[in-house]
Amino acid sequence: MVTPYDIIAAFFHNVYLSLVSIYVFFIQYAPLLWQGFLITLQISAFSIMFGVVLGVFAALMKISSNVILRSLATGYIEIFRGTPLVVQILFIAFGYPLLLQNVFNVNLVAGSWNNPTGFWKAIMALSLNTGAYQAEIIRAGISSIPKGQMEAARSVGLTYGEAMRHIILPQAFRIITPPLTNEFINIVLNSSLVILIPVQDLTFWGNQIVSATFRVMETWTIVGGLYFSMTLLLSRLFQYLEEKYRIPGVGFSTKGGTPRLA
Amino acid sequence: MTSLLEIKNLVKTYSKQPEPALDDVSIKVEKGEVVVIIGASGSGKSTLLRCINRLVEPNEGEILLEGENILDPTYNVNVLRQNVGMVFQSFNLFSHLTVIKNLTLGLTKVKGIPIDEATNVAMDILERVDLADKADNYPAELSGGQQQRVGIARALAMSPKLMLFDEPTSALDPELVGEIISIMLSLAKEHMTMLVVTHEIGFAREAADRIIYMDKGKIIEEQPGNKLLTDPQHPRTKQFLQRIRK
Repeated sequence: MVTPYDIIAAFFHNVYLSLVSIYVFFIQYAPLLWQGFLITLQISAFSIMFGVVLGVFAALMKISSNVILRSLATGYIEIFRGTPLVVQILFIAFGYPLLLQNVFNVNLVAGSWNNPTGFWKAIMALSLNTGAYQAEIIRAGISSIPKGQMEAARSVGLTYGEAMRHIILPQAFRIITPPLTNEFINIVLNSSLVILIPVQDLTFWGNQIVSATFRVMETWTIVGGLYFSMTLLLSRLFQYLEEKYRIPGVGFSTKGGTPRLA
Repeated sequence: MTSLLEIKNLVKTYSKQPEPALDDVSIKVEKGEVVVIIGASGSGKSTLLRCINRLVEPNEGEILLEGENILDPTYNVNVLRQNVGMVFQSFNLFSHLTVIKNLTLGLTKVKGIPIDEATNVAMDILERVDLADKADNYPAELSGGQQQRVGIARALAMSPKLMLFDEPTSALDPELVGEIISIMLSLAKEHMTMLVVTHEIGFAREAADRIIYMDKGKIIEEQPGNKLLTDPQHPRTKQFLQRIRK
């Protein structure tokens, strides 16, 4: 006869067995997941860095008085935010070398600039994509700085470039930290699409492990958790930076203490 | 001897306005002179000042600084701006920099002075405007009057040959105007060459070597000392003075 005691005991026994097996499973596959984690981290970090640089240049070109620079920036931004990231990744992975070979008669050398490894193709695609979005965020930040700041900077004798670098951009970046953080988190998460190249990132290894073990729930929970740990770290980091570089007496803090105006 | 500043037949038309903002304006300013420009808003006073450090590009005419035409394409605009200090109506302090950095930025980046030396120079000037104790504060932590004193100090730090004041007290509460005026008066006493656009008739009366009345982009009347205030000749000047005295 099955008593309630047996049912409870069986339940805890099952939980115990599952935990042991998840533990064994995790220990077994942790090196692969770690390897994928590091690849995802590197691709994201490089893409964020190159994306910011692209974004700043595209934003500055878009507000330039030179019509050619302005058109180039507009074209770049519209194309890269107007087509799917998957298409961009596939185009850069497979189309870009062919384009160089067939149209520009370049001799393809694997691993060089004209036919980079999957890792660098992934960074190229993600940087170009995020650069287009960041350009518009950065442009919004620049537009939010009162015109008098540029006038004052120029009247002291700074050149346009110096004024941008020392006066306008430092203030703009303080303002756009929250939307830029969104964009950085997007890069980390969107980097999972580079599995199409294929690059052996975190999602790639997750997929491999599921194929080999059929442990669908466990694997994707761990993979999801690893992505979440990266994005949480990123958002904490930028919130810290936002507070650290907050201009005393300006704006609202995320630490509370904002007076409620009636 | 050449004048410090000589403006000849300056014309500026903004693309969206049919009336010129500046219509054949000519002014001479000698070294050490304090010239005050008065006039209603929209009379072109600010445009004139902005042309002098080329924040606005005039369409026609010449601006000579110590005999050199600053509108010449080969003239280095950044050198010009080191020699011409500008004080703005809305202060325009660099809000992400402390007071002392507001002053040293130009010294280090434009003049290439090492930071230690620049800080010493800046502290001396801050003491002159009585703000040495606020050196490490940010602009948003200061009162309007204090901010404008930093604005003046920032321009003075570059040791300009000419100071332009664009309605420096218009954005201030009445009780804060005095502290700015007294700094400007002390500069005038030290023979700083100043071109001042202001509504402060008191400052004009006390400090001006010459007062100019502008209306609709034209110089209507120009008189030495404060004769323009005490004995205006042109009917439009009389009308304007009557209006602001009411």
